[in-house]
Amino acid sequence: MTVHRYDAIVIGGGHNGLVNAAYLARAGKKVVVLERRHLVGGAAVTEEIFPGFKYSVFSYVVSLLRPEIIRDLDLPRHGLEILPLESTITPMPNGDYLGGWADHDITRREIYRHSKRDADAYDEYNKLMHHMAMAVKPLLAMVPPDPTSLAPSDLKGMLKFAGMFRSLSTRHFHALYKLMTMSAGDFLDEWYETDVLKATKSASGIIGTFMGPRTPGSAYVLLHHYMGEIDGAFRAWGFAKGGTGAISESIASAAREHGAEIRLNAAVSRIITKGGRAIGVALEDGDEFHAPVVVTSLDPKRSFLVLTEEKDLPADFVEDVKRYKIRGSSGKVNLALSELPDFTCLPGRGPHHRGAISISPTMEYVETAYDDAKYGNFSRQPYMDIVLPSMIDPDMAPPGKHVMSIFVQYAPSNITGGWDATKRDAFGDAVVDAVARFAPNFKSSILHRQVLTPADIESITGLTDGNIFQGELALHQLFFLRPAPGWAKFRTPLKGLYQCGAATHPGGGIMGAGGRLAALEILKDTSLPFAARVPR
Amino acid sequence: MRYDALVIGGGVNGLTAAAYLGRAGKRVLLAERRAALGGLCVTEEFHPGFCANTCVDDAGWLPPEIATDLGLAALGYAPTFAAQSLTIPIAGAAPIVITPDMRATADAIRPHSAHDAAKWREFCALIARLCGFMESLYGVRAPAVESTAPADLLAMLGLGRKLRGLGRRGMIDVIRTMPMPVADLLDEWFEHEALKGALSTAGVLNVQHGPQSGGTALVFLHNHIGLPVGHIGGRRVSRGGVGSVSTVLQAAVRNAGGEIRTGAEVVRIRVKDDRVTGVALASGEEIDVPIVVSGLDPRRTFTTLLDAGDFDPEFLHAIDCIRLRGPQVRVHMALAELPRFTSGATQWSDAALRGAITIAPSMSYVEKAYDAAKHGRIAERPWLHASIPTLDDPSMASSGGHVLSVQAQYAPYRLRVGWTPERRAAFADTVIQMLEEHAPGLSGLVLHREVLAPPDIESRFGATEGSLLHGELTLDQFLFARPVASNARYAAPVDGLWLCGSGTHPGAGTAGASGRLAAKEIVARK
Repeated sequence: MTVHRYDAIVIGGGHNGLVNAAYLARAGKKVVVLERRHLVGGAAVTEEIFPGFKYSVFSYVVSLLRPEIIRDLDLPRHGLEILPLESTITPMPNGDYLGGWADHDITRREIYRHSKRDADAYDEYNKLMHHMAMAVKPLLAMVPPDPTSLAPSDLKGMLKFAGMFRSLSTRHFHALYKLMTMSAGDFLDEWYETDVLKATKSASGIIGTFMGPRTPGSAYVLLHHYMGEIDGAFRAWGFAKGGTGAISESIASAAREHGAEIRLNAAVSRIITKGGRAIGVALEDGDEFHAPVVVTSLDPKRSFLVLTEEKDLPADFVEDVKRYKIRGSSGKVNLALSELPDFTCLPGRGPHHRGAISISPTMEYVETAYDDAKYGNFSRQPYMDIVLPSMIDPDMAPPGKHVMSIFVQYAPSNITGGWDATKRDAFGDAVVDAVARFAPNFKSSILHRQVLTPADIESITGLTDGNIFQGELALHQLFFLRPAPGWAKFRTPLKGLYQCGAATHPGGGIMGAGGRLAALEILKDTSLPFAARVPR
Repeated sequence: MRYDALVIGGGVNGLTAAAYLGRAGKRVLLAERRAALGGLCVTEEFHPGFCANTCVDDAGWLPPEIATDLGLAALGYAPTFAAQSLTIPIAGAAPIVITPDMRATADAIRPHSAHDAAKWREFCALIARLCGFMESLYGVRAPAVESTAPADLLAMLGLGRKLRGLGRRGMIDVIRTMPMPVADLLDEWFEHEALKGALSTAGVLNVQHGPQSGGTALVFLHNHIGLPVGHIGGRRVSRGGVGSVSTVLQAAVRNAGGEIRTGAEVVRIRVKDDRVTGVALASGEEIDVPIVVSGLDPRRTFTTLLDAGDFDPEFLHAIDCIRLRGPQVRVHMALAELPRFTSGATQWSDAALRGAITIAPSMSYVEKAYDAAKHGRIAERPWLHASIPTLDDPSMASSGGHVLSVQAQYAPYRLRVGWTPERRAAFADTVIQMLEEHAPGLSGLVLHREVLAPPDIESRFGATEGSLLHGELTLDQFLFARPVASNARYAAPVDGLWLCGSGTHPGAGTAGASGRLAAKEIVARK
């Protein structure tokens, strides 16, 4: 057994772990990242699944990556290049479609084609959502204050928090309250009448959650997806050149440049504790890494129920972690295509192939997809968000051929009887059939198919239940409650152990905020004289 | 002018508001469209010799201040009420009866789940703690979170202090629980499907949500306010039916010098220069009055009694967006004799029969019933509460026999295929058939039945969309957002017009709390 000594150990080389390591290394700490797999990225990886075809296997688009991280780590110099996603079209069963384009006026005209009223509402709605996202955005860069605490830092935080709300007009405050509490469907009903428009917009409210568009709480998820920006362009989604793995690679490169060490094929089997402190980790091969700071980017169930011994943690904390809702709801299908799908609603090759194709023809369709999942089945007719990365980044597929990424809901992690190969195939077939309804040439164009169920996502990435957000973005699991009441400040009841994954504030998406905020908190703790270095 | 104020609608809140206004020295007239007072809290004869609580069985928590302020005790109001328990049928075993006696309840649960029995007392304590905090929220006008007025800041501070008084864990429980789905809350505590299924109905009562919908834990708490500790799923039962509360309040109005007119339907509220000038009755009579207080639901008040031109379109849009969505059907049956409820060969105990018999065998059963309503259909297998009020109160069937009253969900107001007499009858058949599984021979005892679907509740009682709550009581329509954000302080955006119904804070499920707070605002304004 070898013992390696560092200032800080980061468990998991997902984007949050890498961001965390980069910030710690940048501050002069000797850091090692321990990644179980043979490549960095966690759920943000690019892999050549079939020869010549490269995939953003799991997470596939980016928008939420925090601009301060891009700046601080100088990611463009490390190879980060984001290519904008230009449109979203939703094919309709009647052969028509709804298009949303990069150009506001064209989109407005397109909506006008469906409803004059909605075209009018569209401007107002966009303004409102912009305001809302601007109002909430500062939260993304803030350690959530604990309203139950009387510590000066919490009171200060709460004041700042209250100040943010007070700076809103009454009208905007109420709109924000609605977004925090309503269902996406009900919220959109207040604005629009066109069903396909509501269905497509409401889809942002269900991604990664075990909710339907009519489930209260989904409006917040809608807002969460509005908070992104690319090069300052608000609410824009894009691809990373080279796939989402390229994002992870760029962060890893920045971390290495700052002196961080990244060890691949290094699976942590347990967190070593001594006298109520985390002092290091042990790998599956028996090697040990010791450091005064251990940061886990894994989800709390894995961090605290698997890697840590229950006796090392307070009972109420363990209970809170057990109560934390994870519930995987999404699957992914990655295809290699011999030709582009020819959509009945927009025949031939067109600009829509460079954007997202949303299979969300009606509210009823999406809600029914959720109903299936509630009772332990995959959706027979699922909601899907489809992109063709090879149209934006030709390096992803051999010339003339294409890769298609299909994000699918719902595929419940707790499917009745558990996931197996038969169910995986049936799920893949349901996905292909549902797309083929709108593009008759689709089935025959499929060269290869990779179907990822929540069980597959879990076994490959380690995300419990395959949940892409490391736990639902439900109101009772946000801010100071994420992932457990009182432990939202990236610290844990074990001194020396920190958390930085998507299960921490502000949550999932390739955002990196958790990784950064955790690093800043760790640096605060470790820059103090030793006697005062007691977290919390 | 003969009157200082006119209250529209003689429901519990209208009566309370009128009594408070009268006591404050206002000459007040209460105008009720129907012949009977009580609004949705009425006990009516639905078949010769048989009475039922037509819409709701429980008038809700009557804040103790109202009883004191209005001297209700002297008028015959007994603050200690009989408590109806929750009866949970268990396949092949005696039902679990949930009573305020926590030890007895835990004993009843134990044979089915030792785990749940062990958790019972702690769960009851949690609910009592959370409800205690909600009571303090309900005793004051809705806090204006965005306001910086000193009075509002003080009120917020007061509530903040109450919240702090719960201790750290208590505060977390409050903040964390309210937005939760009731299914998650119950899953955290219990394992037994039938227990969870029955309890979850208290989280979805009168709202078109399923147990997995966020915020239904709030509804669950709301429905336990003012109940004794441990009385989970319980309801208040008033002797003489739910209407007896209205009878007492009616006397309070008269004592306060108020005048009451029944059969007086207000068809229009007159407004001139952004001020209320009076009302017009269906009879053609016009009454000049400077203050009009509407106990009707906000949608009805603003869209049928007033002219859209008098309001800001944004305000009217907000009123249009209130989610009302009555999801419940009432079925009242006149029975020739007491039905025999049995589990296998054993007959149910008397206590079980006296409870609200709850058919909701699991939370996913309730969720599935909700799915139907969500898609605009009637649930094929609804969940239901059935009670036999005549067991405790024989006066409900004066010439013998028994009454069986059912609330069943979900049957949405907006039914895709539309409501027809056949669909009402078919739904009642389903309900009877479901009960017959526990009470063989029940259908043979039915002398008469009355079915009230949401549109019937709307047309008969004026509650828009058949919403017994005057608007779903969910987080987004709660506190300062009830009935609509920025107008949660009872004053309508027209001078002299006020709201006092259960569409305002704190809303349905509290008897008269809205009426009291509205009256206090009106009096304070002068």
